[in-house]
Amino acid sequence: MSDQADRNRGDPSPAGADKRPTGIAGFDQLSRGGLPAGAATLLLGEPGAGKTVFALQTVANAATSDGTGAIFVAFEEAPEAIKANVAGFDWAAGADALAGVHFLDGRGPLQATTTGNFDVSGLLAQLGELVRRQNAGWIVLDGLDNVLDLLSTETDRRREIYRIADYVAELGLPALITGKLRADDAQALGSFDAMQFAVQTVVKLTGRVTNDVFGRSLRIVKYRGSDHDNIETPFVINQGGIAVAYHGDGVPQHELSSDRLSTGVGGLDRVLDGGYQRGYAVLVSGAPGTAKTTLGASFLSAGADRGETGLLVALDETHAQIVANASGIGLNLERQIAEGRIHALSMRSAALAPEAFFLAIERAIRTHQPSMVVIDPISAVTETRDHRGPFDAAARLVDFCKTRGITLLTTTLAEGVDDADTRSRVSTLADAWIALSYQVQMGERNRALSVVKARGIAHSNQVRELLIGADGAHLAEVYAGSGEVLMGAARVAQQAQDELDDAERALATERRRRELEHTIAETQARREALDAALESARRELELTDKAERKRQELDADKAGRIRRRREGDGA
Amino acid sequence: MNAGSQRRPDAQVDSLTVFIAGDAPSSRQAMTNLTGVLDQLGIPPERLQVVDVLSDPAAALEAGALVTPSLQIKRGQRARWFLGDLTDQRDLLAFLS
Repeated sequence: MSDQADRNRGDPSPAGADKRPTGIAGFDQLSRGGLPAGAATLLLGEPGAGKTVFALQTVANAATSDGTGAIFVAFEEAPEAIKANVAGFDWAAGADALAGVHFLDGRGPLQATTTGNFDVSGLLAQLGELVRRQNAGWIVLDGLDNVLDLLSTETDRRREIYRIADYVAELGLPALITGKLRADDAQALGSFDAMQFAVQTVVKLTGRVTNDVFGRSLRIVKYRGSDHDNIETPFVINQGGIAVAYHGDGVPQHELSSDRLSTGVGGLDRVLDGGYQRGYAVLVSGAPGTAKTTLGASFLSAGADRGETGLLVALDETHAQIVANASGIGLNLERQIAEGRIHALSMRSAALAPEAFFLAIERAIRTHQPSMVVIDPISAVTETRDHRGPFDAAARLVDFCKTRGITLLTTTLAEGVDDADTRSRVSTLADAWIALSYQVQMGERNRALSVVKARGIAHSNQVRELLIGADGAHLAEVYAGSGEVLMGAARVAQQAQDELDDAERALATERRRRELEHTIAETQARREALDAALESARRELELTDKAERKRQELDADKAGRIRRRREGDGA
Repeated sequence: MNAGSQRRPDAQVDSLTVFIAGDAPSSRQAMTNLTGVLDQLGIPPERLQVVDVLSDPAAALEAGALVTPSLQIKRGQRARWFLGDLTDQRDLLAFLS
């Protein structure tokens, strides 16, 4: 198999010249572009497997996308009954939805008397005539086994099957031929056993009950001359018709941006270095009541306030309940839903296959184009079922969101994160994993939050206390006392003690300060007095020196004068 | 209609149309068998309309003839179909008698 990039994008691969797309989500990827353009495809399935829906959806899509008309020969049910059966699907709604499909009632032979050998030349002649008149681009022979079974021998049936396959090839049109499998062993009825050799492509639809839940799957049994994935792939039939849960066979291509989205939880953005990365798959795990839903609601609400669009999927709980709870902590989800910024969806997990959920969610994503999706709790689907299936389905949903740059937040009920099995499974679903728990201190339970992992984000792994009040959720500052994080009353008590200690310390400091200031002032005064005494002494000394010099001068002068007098007297 | 059982069989049907596919073996077989049935019942062969779906597919479409050979017998608005080469003629004879 080659690894074309577009296979992984959830968008149909471009159909080659030799293929026609069915327009059925997932199937065109599985078949690498659709069904053979100039050959018959056999669609086998038990009664109720969805063969007619598959065929009609394919031709309705072709009519809608490029105006290709189709001939639909109904061998089992009246055309009016078929139209009524599919009227509930989006692609069949409206009076003109199936206008491009020309129905031919092929039930005639069922009401006729068989008198011997015959062939289907009349059918082929009619098809040729209709294709010419209607310029049709698709042919559907729905329930052909009803006519073939009127033939008496296996050889006759085989001969007619080859004639039909050859004629379709001669017309150069894609054709879908549906036929029943036996319900008991899912083997093709005799005619179709032979037909599997006559056609290029065989697709088998099955439905089975696993763990009391009905799930559908299909498989491309054969596709001559074409690359295809022949794995058994789950599909659902919902309002959009058939959707196949297949997003590609290669390495997922995800668009991660450096853009950060606020978590809506005060303090958590700082812990995550700015918030969740856009395109992230975030998993919030925790026991009941640890505020998982609150984290989801906070994220959605904060995003909607910034102008993002969100999708809230509530499992086994009504979204109205989530909205009501959120309003209690100051989140206005109700208004945001009313304004269309958040779309809400409630589903019950009991009777549906995991695939049904994820395809329903995918459908909602395609419809509403949200940039944020919250599923609460995803464990309603993943944990009560058997092993791999639900996780594969969830992984596909993660993949689906990532390729669209959607930030997905899922919550899961988990008592702990130490279980190795849970760890490895959950890891595949999450770029960021936030674990919520209770911590018991001083006889009370407090909510604790820790970031177990956050790919590509420098984050703190400190356990913090999560506080929820009328103004929303926020993280309390980390309060570490004697080696553990203190929460609730313990934190408050420790904070009070610390404040008291602080006050006492401040008082003591003030007292000491005043003492010292007093000492300084006193010393200063003493120093000034000493300075003055010193100055006075210096001055005194100077004066003394001066007086001494004067006296000496006077003495010298006096001695001179005496000498001079004595000398004068003597002359 | 009150004396229906006494009337000639050809008067009981409004039209007899056989759809064949060229000279396919089963179509030829059907023509042979049908001619015998009509003869047996005294229905004039000209009352039988023969449509070759290969040369006149529009007629096959209009009548809704999906298989060949097949015989369409109309009585008023109702049409009865007999599929196949008429190897087994019991139902046809019972119907026309």
